[in-house]
Amino acid sequence: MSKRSPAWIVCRGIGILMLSGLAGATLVRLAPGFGIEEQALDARLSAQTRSALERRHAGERNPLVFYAHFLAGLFHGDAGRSVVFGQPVRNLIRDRAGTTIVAVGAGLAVGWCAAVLLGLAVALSRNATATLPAFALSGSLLSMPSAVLATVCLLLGLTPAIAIAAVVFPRVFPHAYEQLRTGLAAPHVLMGRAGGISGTRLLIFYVGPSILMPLVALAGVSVTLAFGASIPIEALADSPGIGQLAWRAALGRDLPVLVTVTLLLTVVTVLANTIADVAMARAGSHSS
Amino acid sequence: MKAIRIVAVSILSSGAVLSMGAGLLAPYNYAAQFREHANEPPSRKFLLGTDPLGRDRFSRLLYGSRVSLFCAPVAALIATALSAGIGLVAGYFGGWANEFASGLTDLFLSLPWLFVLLTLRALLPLNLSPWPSIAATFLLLAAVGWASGARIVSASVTSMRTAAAVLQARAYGCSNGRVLRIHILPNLKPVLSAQFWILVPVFLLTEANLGALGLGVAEPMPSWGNMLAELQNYQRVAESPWILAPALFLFLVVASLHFAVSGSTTWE
Repeated sequence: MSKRSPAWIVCRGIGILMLSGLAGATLVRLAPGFGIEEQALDARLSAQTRSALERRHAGERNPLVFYAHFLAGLFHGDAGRSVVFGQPVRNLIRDRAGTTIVAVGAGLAVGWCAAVLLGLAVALSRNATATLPAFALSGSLLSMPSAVLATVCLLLGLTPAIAIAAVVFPRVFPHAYEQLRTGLAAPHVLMGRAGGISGTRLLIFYVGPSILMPLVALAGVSVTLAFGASIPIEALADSPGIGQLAWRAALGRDLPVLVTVTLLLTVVTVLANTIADVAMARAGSHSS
Repeated sequence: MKAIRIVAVSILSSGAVLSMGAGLLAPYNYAAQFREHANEPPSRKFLLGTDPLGRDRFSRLLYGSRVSLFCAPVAALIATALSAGIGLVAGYFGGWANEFASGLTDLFLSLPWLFVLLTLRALLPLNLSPWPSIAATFLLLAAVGWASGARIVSASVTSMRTAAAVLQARAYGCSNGRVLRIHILPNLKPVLSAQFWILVPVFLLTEANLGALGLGVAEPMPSWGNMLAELQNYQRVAESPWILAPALFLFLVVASLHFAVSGSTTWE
């Protein structure tokens, strides 16, 4: 298996997921109060009953055994029970995932469209008076924490999706602009323009293919970024999504919820990066 | 561009002076409570008003800048040192060391940072006293922030391994430690310096986000992050916009850092 082959990339993704699962299971296992049942605090229970209750968790003392149980549970959709909410973690995530997916999806779409369109406009204008305000906007947004962006959006009556877009935009814009600028100045594009090819055709068939791969790689990273931004944004906007769930779980030290949510987002991140890497590897093999 | 850089460096220098001189410049102690003046607007007595506990916001802002402006660079330094250590070993020795470090780096780069930080922070008691909470917050930031730097360092060291100077030093019988220390590490200075300056604003912003969520530096010690926790009640911003003062300071410092370090773009 060569280091750049799609098979290697997929295997690496699976390996990362297994390792992060082990780390997560170890955290839950090491959490204070693990394996202690409320029943065990009942003064009426005899010593034998208490030791029988303890024996119930004896097999889980070993982190590897616990990990195996944890994984088996996850495959069956059982991610444990929330300490704070008193509900199965699966139900909590199922109820809230939709809100976050819609907000993150819309935020990514708006952020990317704004960044690419503005990047294109600035690259086409080739004028310092257009470049300066665009970079000032991008730099300003980059210098603000997500929590402040969320507050500004709430005060302006905008949705959490716009706040997520405001986090994504400044990370994409400089790269999109740079790629478009370089792409528009490439010799084959200049030749095409000299040959009388229309601007739209030049963009789609000449510039597009050369800038696609770097932007695909960036897309993988922006997914993680958008989910990360959803925590303060949903917490401040009181939006009932995964980000708000993670925040409340952190305040309540609810590790089963936190670890499951983190694992879930690691899966999303690894999937996004793997798809981006495989696409680039395939494009690379086609071009070579 | 040069003028912008000069302005940026001036803002950073002023920030550093204000934070170092907090003990002299702040009119009150950061924990002093004036209960009869709670939630007051800015006045001659309280330049940025008071918080719900009657503490002077201006004094807290000055002391808070000391925490944020001192600890973020320290955390960035630790993360850069980790990047350097792991990247040097991986790049110089190659083989299994490189495979292991590369796998570890991939793992860290795939984890959703803020979620990992929330999980790790939840393992610690929420009622940590201020100094351990500062150490825990910034050490956690350093512990998860080294990965991208390690990859860059490793790539740089791999390319330096076959440089004439390094091959010659090894042929003369220099030990690996000496080669790394004398011939490779000094050449990594630009890479490590860039890594450090990229991480400082990232850590400042992440601490602000953690603090705004009530999971950063513990009260009563102020930091720009935990002063932003007031934003949880965002409706108050319209009637008391001065509660955004820490955000404004943070914005000025982070923007100045971006401009001062050649306007490089960073990933949170």
